[in-house]
Amino acid sequence: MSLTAPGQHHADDRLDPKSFGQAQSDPTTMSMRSLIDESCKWPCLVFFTTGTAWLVIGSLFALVASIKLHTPRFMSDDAWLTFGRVRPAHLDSVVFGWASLTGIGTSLWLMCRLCRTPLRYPAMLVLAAILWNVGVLVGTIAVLSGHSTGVEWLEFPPYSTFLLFIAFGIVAIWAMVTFGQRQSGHVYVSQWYLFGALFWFPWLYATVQILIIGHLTSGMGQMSVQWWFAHNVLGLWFTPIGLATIYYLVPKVIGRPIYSYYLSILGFWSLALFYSWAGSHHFISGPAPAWLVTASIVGSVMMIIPVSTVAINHHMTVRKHFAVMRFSPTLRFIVFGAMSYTLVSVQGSSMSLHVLNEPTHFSHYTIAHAHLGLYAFFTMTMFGAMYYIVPRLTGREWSSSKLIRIHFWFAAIGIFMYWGFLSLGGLIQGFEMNQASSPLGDLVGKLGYWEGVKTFLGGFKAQNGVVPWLAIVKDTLPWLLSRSIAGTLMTLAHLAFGVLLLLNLTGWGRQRSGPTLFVSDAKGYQQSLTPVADWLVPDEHEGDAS
Amino acid sequence: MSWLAIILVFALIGAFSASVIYALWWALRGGQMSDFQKGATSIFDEEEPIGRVTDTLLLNKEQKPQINADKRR
Repeated sequence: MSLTAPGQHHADDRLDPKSFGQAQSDPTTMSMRSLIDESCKWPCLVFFTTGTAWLVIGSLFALVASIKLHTPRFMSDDAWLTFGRVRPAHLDSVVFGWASLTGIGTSLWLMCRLCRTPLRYPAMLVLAAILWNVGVLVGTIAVLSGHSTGVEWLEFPPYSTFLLFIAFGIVAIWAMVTFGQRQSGHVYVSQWYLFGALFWFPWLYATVQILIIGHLTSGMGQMSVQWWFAHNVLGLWFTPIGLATIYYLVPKVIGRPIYSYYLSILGFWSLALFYSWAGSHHFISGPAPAWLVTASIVGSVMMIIPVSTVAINHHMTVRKHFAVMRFSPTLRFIVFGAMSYTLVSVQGSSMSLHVLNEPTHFSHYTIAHAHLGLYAFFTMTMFGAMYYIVPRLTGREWSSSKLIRIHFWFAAIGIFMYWGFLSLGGLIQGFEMNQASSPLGDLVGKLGYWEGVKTFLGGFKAQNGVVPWLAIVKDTLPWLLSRSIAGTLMTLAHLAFGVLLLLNLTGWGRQRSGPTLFVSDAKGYQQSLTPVADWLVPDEHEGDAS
Repeated sequence: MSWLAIILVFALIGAFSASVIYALWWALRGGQMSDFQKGATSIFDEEEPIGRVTDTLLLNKEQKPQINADKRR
């Protein structure tokens, strides 16, 4: 497989943009980072490009499903477009298509950078990407054609899952080989997280496939395993990849080491210790054994420890450098993702408590929470990573800062509109379904006596203790409509990103000779590049702060 | 839940726990947790030293940035 001009990074190579690419033809003159980027080019771009395609496809499925919730007759004539098929098709195409593919692509690049070794066996990884994509395609078609397993998050039939396992096995073996050939002795915290993700995912997926799809469990046991998987696939697969990306790119972009490496390591090991307990808190007030639910609640609340370490570290590292976010697309997306991680994690811990879980569990509040995690945290972080990595692989800058701005603001406004309105609507729905019997419900019920608040809440009717089911359904309509509007914004953002990626890959867009930033305020940009005096060691880095 | 399922679950838990304990032991024994300052700076090198902003693909530190963005403040 031939590799063409990669991203170049060595200072001498960057002096003349016209010579860009020419200096790379001779491997002996290339810097290690340029060699690594060149070796990563094809595997990472295949993972990124196909992942982005699944994002657009999954977004369209999501829009159709969302519109059906407030306009049930929308596209209801064909069986394959009914809600029961489109909704799981959306879930699986974004989880196993978009999020997993871009997560693996980012992991490959990070692993090579952190091991300081070029990517070996690129053809093998391209094969893994193709197998993974065939698995997702076959699985999605199966779900749409009515051959779903019927288990949420695990709808793909076994013949599709088998392909995913083979593809993942190739990636995992590659990761171990690369780690064994690493040139750096120290294992950076991002590598710990990446290894955690690569190790935990097959454990999770194999366990649920054996127990559920293999029909070794039934009834409550099946539900326990299923929610353990559904919860942990976010916490032990996507979260470690997202945090690994943040821990690498934030220091790299602003040129400052993380605030406390000790906290970062503490965060990793406490995540490893506590996260896998979560999942069974979904059965609060359900038929599960009390000890199982209680243990899960304890694990969920203890997640405050790793989340706090990450939040403190990210904030203190970026502190005094927030101005860079005004210019840098990568940093803006990544910091948005990092802040959302704190928010979704604290919200998740609170949702494991009886007082909030009971009124919200079967409401849209849970859906909003899931999107805050997988979109506001993980997806935005992956966007930031791709804005950093792709130009280094293709050797081309992003062709339009205007499209990047559209991408960011549509996605950011869309997800917070989605989360905010659906959380509020979910709370009202939950309180109404519980007939305001919980302490929080009583409080909102009392607020409902005030006419203004009552109107704002969409006609909260629980003060009499009984709310007809149809009234509850009708009360959700405005919030479901806002969800469709938010989803439209996010889909437009994804299309903008898809166009940007296409222009970058093909070279059809405007050719840039410098970095593509949000704002052309050169003076302000220079001022934001302040030296990191507290971390600089004069003897070793003299002159680097210029 | 059948006995086969229980055995499988406990086998997976055992393998997982053993791997985690081994990884922790390996990290402690290998000095991965002995010098945290060194760990934090390990991703920087001569090409990308501390203090260098890297979100600028074609930007050289001696050059003034040629920023591509629309006129907007």
